[in-house]
Amino acid sequence: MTVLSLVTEDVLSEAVGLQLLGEVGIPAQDVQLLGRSGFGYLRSKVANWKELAMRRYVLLLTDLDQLACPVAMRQDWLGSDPIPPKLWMRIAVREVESWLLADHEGMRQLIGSTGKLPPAPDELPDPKAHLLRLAKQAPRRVRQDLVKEKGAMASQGIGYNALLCEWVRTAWCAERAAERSPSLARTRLRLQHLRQDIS
Amino acid sequence: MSVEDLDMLVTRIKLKNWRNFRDLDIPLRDVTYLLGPNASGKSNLLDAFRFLRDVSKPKGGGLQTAVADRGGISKLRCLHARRDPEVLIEIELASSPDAPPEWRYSLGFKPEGKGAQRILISREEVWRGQSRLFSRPDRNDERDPMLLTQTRLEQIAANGDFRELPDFFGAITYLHLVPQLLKYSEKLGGQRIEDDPFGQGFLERVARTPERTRTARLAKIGKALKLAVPQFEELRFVKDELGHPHLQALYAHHRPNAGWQNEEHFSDGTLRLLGLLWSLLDGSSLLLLEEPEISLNDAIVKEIPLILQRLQRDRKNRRQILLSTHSEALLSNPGIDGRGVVLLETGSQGTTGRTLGNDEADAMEAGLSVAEVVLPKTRPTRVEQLGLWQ
Repeated sequence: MTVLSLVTEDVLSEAVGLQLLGEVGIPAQDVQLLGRSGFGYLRSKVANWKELAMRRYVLLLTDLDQLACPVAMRQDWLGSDPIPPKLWMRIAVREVESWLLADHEGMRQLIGSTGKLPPAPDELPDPKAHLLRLAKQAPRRVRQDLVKEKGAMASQGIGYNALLCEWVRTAWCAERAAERSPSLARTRLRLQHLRQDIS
Repeated sequence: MSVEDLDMLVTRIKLKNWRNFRDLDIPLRDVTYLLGPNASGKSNLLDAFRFLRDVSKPKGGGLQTAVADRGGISKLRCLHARRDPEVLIEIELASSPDAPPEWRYSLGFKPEGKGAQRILISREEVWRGQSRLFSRPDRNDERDPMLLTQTRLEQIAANGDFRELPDFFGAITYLHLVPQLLKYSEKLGGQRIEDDPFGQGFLERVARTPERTRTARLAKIGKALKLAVPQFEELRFVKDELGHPHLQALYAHHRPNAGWQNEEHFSDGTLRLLGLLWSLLDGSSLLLLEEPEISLNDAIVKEIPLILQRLQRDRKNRRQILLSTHSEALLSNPGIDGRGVVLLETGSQGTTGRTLGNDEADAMEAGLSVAEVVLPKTRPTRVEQLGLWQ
């Protein structure tokens, strides 16, 4: 039986979540994976996540997107009733992509040496768009996966999730990234507490 | 020049009175996703390409056979056809989806209307760029109407100036592998459909491939299966004592020395995926895929668009793909290019087809997927009532 449920809005957040849990000694085989059907789905199922957290640990990992601040978002999602102690909600400011951009060394391995990496990715209004702009200057194979073809009726490349998930698993370093992303640094700290809480 | 060097693709197809299409005119791209409700004619559209392939076959093909194999013209012609009895197929080919057409082929035909009721060509034209190579019926046809029973596509003596076209059409492939037909191939007996569209003779197809190519392809497919099929370890090709070809797999969970399993023990999904990957690697002309998602886990289906797109980037393996699908998972990737989506819509005048409009383009550029924007339009309006069936 798994020790914790990881609830995310897409495969990329899930890959990041698993990586962060791995860091604190909770391997993927101990994690039940839920969600993955988008932000709206996650929001609409809040009652279910709370219900689930009455029985077991739940880590709800989501993006802040265009909302003003994480505190307000927490309040909006979880309400003012007492929150089950086993429900842990973490919010990436503003998107999980800012956590990825925060690891400059890892990013360079992915997109090469061109393009300026953001010193404070948590402050970017649209981190995903920023990442896509940078990826336009990346080596061809990477660019073709991440960025849509010129003129295409789409928002991103077909290989966006597949390539970034692979990169998160193999190259991304949360410790390095946390130096530039306060929201990631806080999350890593909280996950250490979560680990202690579980055992 | 062989068709491999040409790198051509079909950029447009026009149909008149073909099965349930009274009038269809749609563009195609490197990868085109064909969507539509049940019975909207997705398979019929794919069949127009198979028809051209059958017409172009130098051996056992030709117009008369291609029509007869489809149950005659009365089965072929659209029920909504009005006074005009002509069935027409027109194709444009170019070097890239947005380039002007390099070739245009148009073929119209109708029944003789008397006597033996042969199928006669009412129009056949080939254009190369802006110049028309010929237009039939011509003076020879008037002199000898028998000539109108054969297209120039099928006549090697007559198609020298545009051999690229019959070569291209003749190499169009279609594979809709039905696992049960493959597994029970011997019990079902010898009856097979020309060109084996349902994969009954898939193993012979693999066996006929030169050994080096076969080994390389199976190694490549084995790598994919290892990612997709739990416990799957290795794939190989063997012949049994009777000389019959087999595919065999090794699984990790079996006892060591449990040995290799023959294809009849493969799961339906494993066989479908194997057939799909093989057909992607086999050939360089247009590939027609009918609902590739069948029997496959959604997690695998989701990866199909990326597999297809990565194939396009590789010069050696690139080929045009036209696939029909109902799968939400297959269309859930927001990276799928909406320009390559064709939506079939049914109405009282038969089926029409269209590409996506500006409102749909806005939604897709805002980050929504084809599954979210277009797929709901293929659902029957009162389908929830089906659950009340008793």
